[in-house]
Amino acid sequence: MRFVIIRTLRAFLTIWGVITLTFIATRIAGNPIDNFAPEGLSNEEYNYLMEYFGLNESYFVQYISYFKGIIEGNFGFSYFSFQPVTEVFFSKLPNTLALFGYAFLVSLIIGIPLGIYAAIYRNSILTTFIMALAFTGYAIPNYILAIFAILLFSFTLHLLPTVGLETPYHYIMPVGCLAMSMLAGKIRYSRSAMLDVLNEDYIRTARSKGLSERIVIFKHAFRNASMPIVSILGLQIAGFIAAVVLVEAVFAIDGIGNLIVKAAIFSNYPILQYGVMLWGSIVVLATLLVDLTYALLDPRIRVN
Amino acid sequence: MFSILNNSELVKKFKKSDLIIKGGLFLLFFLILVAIFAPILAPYDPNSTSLLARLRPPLGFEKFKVGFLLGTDELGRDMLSRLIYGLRFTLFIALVGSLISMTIGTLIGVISGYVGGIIDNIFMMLVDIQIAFPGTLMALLLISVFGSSITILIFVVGISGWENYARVVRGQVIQIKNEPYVSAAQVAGAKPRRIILLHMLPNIASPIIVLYTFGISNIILLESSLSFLGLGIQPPTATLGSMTGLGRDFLSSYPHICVLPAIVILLIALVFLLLGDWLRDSLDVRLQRK
Repeated sequence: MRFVIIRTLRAFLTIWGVITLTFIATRIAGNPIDNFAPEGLSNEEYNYLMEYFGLNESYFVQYISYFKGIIEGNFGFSYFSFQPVTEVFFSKLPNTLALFGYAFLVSLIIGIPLGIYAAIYRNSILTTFIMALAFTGYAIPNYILAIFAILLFSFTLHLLPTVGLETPYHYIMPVGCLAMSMLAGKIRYSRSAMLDVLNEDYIRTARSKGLSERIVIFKHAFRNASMPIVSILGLQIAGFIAAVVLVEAVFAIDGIGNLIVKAAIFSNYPILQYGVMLWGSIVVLATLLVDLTYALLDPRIRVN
Repeated sequence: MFSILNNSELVKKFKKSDLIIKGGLFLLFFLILVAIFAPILAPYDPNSTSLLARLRPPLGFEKFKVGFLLGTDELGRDMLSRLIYGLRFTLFIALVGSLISMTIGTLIGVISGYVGGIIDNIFMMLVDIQIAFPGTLMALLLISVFGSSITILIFVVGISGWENYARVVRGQVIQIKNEPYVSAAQVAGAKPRRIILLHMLPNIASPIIVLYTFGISNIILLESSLSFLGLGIQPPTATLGSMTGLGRDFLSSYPHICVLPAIVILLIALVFLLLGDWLRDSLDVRLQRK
């Protein structure tokens, strides 16, 4: 129980740290209004903007009221559209979620069987091919992959559209490129998890009992390997913000990634702050969940 | 620390290594030489424009213009010269950037592991925060706040990735803290600074070198993706990422403007990855967290 409390406290402390650092970073360079205010803004309008966004208070007061807002579910307003930040985010969320979800699913369906195959048949030619695929997916940045894909499928073969997400055809290239960068990890991790399990004594026992290889692999080995695979997948989801941002940029998809990049270009800090906070919280909570699940299943961790 | 670099065993292992590794390392050596001697090798000034020679394709295509081996871009700038200078720039940022993250990370890792206690807790908390704060997002935030210049870009890519060094170095320091040779130095009255610099760092140099190599590869990708998004160094300065990003507009009719820098990014990131992989196996380093 002590472990759970300490671990949870640490997770929330981390989220607090992320929020605070983001806040400091956005205030350190001076008044954000100066960055985006158009030329010839009258004093009156300037003061109105300052008051509207609460920027005329001292930094400490701003910090306190920012936290108060977070607790009340008010994350600030976009400097440009004056809409609540959450509203802006949720309007872009469906595109990103669809893209991410499909890519994750595709990489799961392809990656895990390939990883398992590579673990079972360690010396086959197909395994060499699979590991080469994993290395390629890991080594080629997905925006470069996307450029090559556009060049081949859109401009040379004239098969697929290049921008947006209007029809199912529009999804093929962005989802493919995103899935490719997720594939590498899935193949590598499921392979190494399977390899670990296949060396265990109970697998030898199962084989010596005369069970068929299929039952040994799927009932004995895969079930035991699935736990580490699932936990690593959970942690991996968190690492894909960069991939999403770039794929959305190349295919001009109106999602969270493009929103964040635009916010960065135009110094729209409330959007950036919310994006960082959201992503940081996802990472921290995913890690926490994995750690707690492990502690629940493995008493040794709780003691240490 | 540098004894590891002229390690004769490493040379032996290199002689025995695959053709891919050998080819990769030679390519790396070649690219570094090209970057160093860019002013001599580049046939033109990378930023000088020529309206009469705009949008020419590379050698072997129709409308190729003699003197522009890899063609020209939309302003008539020589692609080869821009690629050479872009490579120089990208490599410079990557080498300096990962030097920064190595220094910060190693320092924090050593202090954290050696001193322990509350300082260790605070530093590990910082590592946790950094992990929850992906490099790309932090870079976007900082560039948005401070604007984009070379100094900012190096700083931004430099502070991304320090947490890897900190975590690994801390683990290593804790592991060797109770080794007899460290205790012996302590008993002999050596100061912590001397123990860390002379006794500990040489013994944990291998994982740091491996991380540094992977770090360069990561930073090349981070820098080029930022430049690709238009948040890196501003035009007309040639960087591989911004050449790819701006060339995207010409992808349908003049693909070489976009594809050539993309291929160079791919190659350079790949050879550092290969080098890192090979060093990891040859120096027998384990980087995984328990």
